[in-house]
Amino acid sequence: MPVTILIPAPLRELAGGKAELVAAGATVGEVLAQVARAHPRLGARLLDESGQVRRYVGLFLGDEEVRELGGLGAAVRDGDRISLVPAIAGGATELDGERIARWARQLLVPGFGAGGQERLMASRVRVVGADGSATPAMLALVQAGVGTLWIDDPETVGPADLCGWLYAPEQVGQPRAAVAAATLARFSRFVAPLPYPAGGAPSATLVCAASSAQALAAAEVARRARIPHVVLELDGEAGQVISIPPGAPCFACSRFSASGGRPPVAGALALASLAAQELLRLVVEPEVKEGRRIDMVRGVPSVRQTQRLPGCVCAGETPPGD
Amino acid sequence: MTEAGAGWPLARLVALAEGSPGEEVCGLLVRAGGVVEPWPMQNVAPAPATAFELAPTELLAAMRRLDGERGELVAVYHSHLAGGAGLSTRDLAGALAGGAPIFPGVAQVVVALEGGRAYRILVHRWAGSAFTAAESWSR
Repeated sequence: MPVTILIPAPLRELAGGKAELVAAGATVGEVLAQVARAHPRLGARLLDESGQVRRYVGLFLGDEEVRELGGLGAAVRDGDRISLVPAIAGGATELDGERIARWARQLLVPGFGAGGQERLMASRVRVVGADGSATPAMLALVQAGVGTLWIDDPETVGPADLCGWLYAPEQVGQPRAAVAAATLARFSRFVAPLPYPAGGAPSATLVCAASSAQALAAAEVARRARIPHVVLELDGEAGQVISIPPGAPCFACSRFSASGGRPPVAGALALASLAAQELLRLVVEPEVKEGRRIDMVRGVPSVRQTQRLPGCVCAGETPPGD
Repeated sequence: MTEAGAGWPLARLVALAEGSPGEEVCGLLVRAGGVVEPWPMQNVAPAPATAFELAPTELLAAMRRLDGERGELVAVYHSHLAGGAGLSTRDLAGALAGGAPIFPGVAQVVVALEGGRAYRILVHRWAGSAFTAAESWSR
């Protein structure tokens, strides 16, 4: 039975510019399926991957809502007119008042907002390396409100770690991951800082590894998992922070050989905070596709876009969505 | 005011939002006859303090009116009573279908309130793979 489907103006470019389409079928569902086959771009907005009508698609048979007529099984007759009206809906953040108050300052930042905070809350961040130099980064991630902070470090607290912000002298000799998790948990009840569980699947990684070999290995794991990651490498001057969104030049392409050492200087601790900030950016703004490197030399930072080395294994990748 | 909302009746959106400090307001911004004006609609979301849904019957009428007045839908607007003017995950879920905007070329405008007073409007436009925001008004 020929039925007329009325296309609202904002959707007409998906229907070849037409205001009306004619399709046949015994029910609203059959008519809609035929429209979707004839106009795939429109169909993609109306039907999901399994062919079911998306929940926001409003349908009217004449002036009556189809769902009040029995849904897609509602019978149609010759000459009926079906109007498509996508529902327009949304909602404010699911953050409660306490969380809003806690993160009010960053919620106000344009481009961050409630959506960014919700992405942080849903994130599982693995921190590889938790010595004293990494402590500002872990604290910053907790304060920003990541959902889960997995601390991956097999070592114990040593005297050199006391230069950081989390470890106390009486904790020397205790496992770093457990001590850091317990201390960090006191800063926010909205975040779960935990020792990294074997086999855990993080959604982002911050590498603060004690050696270049460990950093390269951890960054490679994150690259293969196609998750955003940031690597902090400290050296005698201060160090570098390298941000690597999925598909960007890998850590091996982006670094230059650091001289080693993890000096307990304020500049190094500042760089660790900056590394956390870079990771937060990648979690909050998943559309970021370009990698960048921040070098800190005697307290003075410089920023440059990372470049892929010819022949690197990461060259075959493209950013998600391209 | 920046280019993002130039010529749009942002002051009226502020008045509409502040006139409803307990529920989110929502509606369309429509260009007709060279002028952009708000078409406010009833919010029929079950929890209107934290969500919005344009009344379907009013939306149907608006689509017919668009044809009658040769209007152009330029944006969907709504307010947030708290939490800023960013698009929340629920806003994105409502604006996208299969990773693309339901209404191609239509911006999303969010008026942010705090304590019942509007302090920021962001205009979110689709930039190929995500919405990007531009501040259009603040105080």
